[in-house]
Amino acid sequence: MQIANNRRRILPRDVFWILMLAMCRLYLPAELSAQPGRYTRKSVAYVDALLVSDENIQVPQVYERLLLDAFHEQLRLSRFDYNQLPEAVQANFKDRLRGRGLLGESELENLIAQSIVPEIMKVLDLEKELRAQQLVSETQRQSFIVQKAKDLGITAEQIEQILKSAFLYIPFLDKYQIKQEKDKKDISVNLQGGVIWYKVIVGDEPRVEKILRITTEGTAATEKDKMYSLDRGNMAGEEAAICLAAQTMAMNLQVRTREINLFKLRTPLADVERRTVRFPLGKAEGIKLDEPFYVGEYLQTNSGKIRFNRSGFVRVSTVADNSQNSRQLSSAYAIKKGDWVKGMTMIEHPRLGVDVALKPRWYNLRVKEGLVLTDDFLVYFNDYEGVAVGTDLDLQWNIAQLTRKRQSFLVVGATGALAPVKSKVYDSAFEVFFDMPTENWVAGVLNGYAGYLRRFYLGPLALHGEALLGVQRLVVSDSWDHESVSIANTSFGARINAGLEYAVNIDVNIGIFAGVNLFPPLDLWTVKYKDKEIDVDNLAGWAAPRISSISPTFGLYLHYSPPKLNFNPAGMIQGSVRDQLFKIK
Amino acid sequence: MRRFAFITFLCLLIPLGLSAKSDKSKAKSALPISREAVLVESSSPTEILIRATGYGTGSDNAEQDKRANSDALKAAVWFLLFGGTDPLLQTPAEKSAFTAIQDNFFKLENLKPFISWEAEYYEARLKIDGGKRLKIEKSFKINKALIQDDLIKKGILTATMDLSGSLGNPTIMVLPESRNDRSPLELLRSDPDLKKGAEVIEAFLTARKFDVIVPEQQQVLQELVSAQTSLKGEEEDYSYLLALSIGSDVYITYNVAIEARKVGSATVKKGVVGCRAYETTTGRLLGTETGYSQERPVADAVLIEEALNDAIDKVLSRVTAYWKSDLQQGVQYKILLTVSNSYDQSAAEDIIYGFADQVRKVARSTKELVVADYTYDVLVWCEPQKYRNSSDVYRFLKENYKGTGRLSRVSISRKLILLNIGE
Repeated sequence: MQIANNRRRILPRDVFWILMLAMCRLYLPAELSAQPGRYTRKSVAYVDALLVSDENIQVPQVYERLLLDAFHEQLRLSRFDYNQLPEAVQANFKDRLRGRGLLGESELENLIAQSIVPEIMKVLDLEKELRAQQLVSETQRQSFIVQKAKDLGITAEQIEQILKSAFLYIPFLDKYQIKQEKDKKDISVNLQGGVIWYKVIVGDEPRVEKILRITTEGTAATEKDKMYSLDRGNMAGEEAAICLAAQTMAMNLQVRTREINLFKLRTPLADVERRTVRFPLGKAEGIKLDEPFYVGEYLQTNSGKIRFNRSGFVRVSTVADNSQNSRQLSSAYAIKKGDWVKGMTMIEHPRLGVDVALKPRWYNLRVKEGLVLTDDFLVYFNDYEGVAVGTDLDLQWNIAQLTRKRQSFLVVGATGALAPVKSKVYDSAFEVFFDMPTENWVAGVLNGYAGYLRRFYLGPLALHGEALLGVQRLVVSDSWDHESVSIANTSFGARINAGLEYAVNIDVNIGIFAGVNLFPPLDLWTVKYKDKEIDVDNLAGWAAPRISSISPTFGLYLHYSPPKLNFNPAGMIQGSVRDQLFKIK
Repeated sequence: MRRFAFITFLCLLIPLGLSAKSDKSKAKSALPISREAVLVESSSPTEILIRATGYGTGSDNAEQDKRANSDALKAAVWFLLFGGTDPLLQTPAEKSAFTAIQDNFFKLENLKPFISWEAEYYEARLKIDGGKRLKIEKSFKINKALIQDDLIKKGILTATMDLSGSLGNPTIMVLPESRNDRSPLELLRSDPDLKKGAEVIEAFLTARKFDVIVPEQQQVLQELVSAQTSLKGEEEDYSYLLALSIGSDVYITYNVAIEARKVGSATVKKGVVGCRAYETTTGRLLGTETGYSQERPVADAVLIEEALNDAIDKVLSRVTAYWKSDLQQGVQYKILLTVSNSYDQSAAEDIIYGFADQVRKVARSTKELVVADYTYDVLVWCEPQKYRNSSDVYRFLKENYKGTGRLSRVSISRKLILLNIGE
């Protein structure tokens, strides 16, 4: 419940930027800094220490561990070979770091070069020949050395390439803010930080060079006194908020890391057959079903620059297990297809795997007149049968990896709608006696739901079907003792939708949908006053109003695949589901 | 007015027609547009790995790709025929003969049989000229022996066997370069790297159908002859033993060096070999090449094989080129005449002049190396059809020399004719 509150708090700002970005993307030029060729695996090491950019930031050791674990877990990408640095080396580095206090980036580079780089070189040395085998190209495999010497086809050049393709990252924190307002149980955490990526330079004097500093943000809110069940076990409010915020940051960092040109997966097309392409990437590189890739070719401009010219995009449809046999091919289906031939290049377009959908919709609402009588209120609803206009805001979480069916999503969303339902709220005997109620001309209708969505692409067009279970609330407001009061009718039901979409670009689909709303009339009422929400009995009995929405619904559809989110939907869903199932209080 | 319009229309049509014609003539040519290719490696005695560039134009990507692919393939074959330091077509005659069949030869369906392997992926793929042209780089493994056979069949090249027939069965011996006072045979026995080198070169030679003399076996044979003659109590025929020791038309010497360095903690080594081919009798250098292996963390033998593959193919091309040019001039022999010193200087000079007259009759061309008081050293080129071997040359000289003294042979081996004139 607390996490849901958090979502309400964050979404509006996010949605605004998300939509702005989505629209801007339609006009963005093609990527100019792409690197020709194929992706080669990188050796990555990390320092298990958290740098802080401000000496006022004091992170307790438990929280530091949470942050570091979240970062390392998300940055452990299959496309990298990880080099575990010995504990002693890391301890030595941390000691020297503490001893020197806050460091500038060049000082940090020197410190890393002195204490960490020699160790990375040692680790790389141990495994370099094994890794170099993976660099043996198709042509080299055909050359004399492999015919005659089978597995000895590696060269010094490839060994050097292994040593030179070593990278190192160090996590850092710029902002560490825990807020709790007076007299409120809610605790909100705002973290800002990221990782600094370094490249190890091999030579007579091995050193590191900074390649990029990636910064991202994570926020979360929990109830301080409540216990939460998360991935890492049961946690109290503050710790859970830190954990969720850290996971959010780490999730965003992973996408940002995959977006770095050096780390971006790229490969030539091995085959093009109608709308299906095959390519030599797979489990070894960690590709997943439905991941989007641009397809295009390198073009030399008149000024001599080489740029990647996109001519469409695909989504992965089968993932080959190429960890043993690198010749295994994965496949992808074309959403927007250009004039493609074998040999053109596919380039990864890293995304979170969570889409945000916005669906303005219309549906029918029916209110049969009646009374709601509680200890404090008398509410009279007029008859109404007509349109409610609202907007769905959904998070579509791609679960193709779990279902093994492409384009399958877990949907979690909410609807906010308005309907011209007239009601009168009496909150005192005086108002009843003199018939001076608070009159409402409009009622708010809120829906919360979760369900399953499946999409079927036919070129840039897609058909989708979704089944949702949820709760609907019709809310009327009053003011009592200078405080706002809301009285709500609750109904449980389902929705079934089918839609037709068009892929505007790799991140945005637009379309229309139609469906059925199945929320029957239920005599369930709640009153919310001063952040307290209580279930109340309607004493009106047979005279209760019957509020239902069993009707067709139709609307417009827009979805966007964002590169980052400031909250972690997985953590939120997980937290709420467990919370409901196990009632951890 | 109508007439003016008609003339204008015609004027517009003529250039269009011309350009269409020139396009058509361009399209007809099957020769590659690209001439960019590099030799990656001689993978085996018959196969060559080549990386070639291809250019393709067309209305769509598929057409551009198809054309660039075939252009790269053609460029790879073109490189084997004309490019590099040792192309298959070496003489002007061969090149001009090839011109007559080049359009047919470079047709894609005719080239396909020569391709042992082609890369699945391009090394590079780039759109140029604002996207109008596609440039690709692709690797091909081409069976050079098949191309050679095909060109022989078509009469463009002369077969090795034909050369052998004309020049008298050419034989090659492979020997390591001897250092210090150690003999090549001793080096072959004691140094496994040099032994490996000899094996690699011999593998190439036998695959290319050259006659190969193995030096160790040659020595065994010499020892066997000596043993047999001494068993029978007869005197050894030293002239025969001398001929045996010369043994081959061409000998190839080579040296091997392994350079090592550290990359990280690994020791990587690079094989460097030098290869030289000589004409045995004249000592004429036919070709020198240096070959390098990649730097690898592997056994020396692998590096030697890789480096020698790089060098020997080119050296053999030079040897073949030398044979071809010799065939045009005739078969080369070295004649060394010694005049008995029982003659005075003036008489010896007359004898040499008389002999030289006969030499000029037997040879198509000659080159005098030494004319001393009692020695006459000359290179001669005789017609292979007329003089199939060295004894034919000797017989002519013996029959036709009418000067003072009696011409006799000291020794006749493949191309070395040692003669003597005495009383």
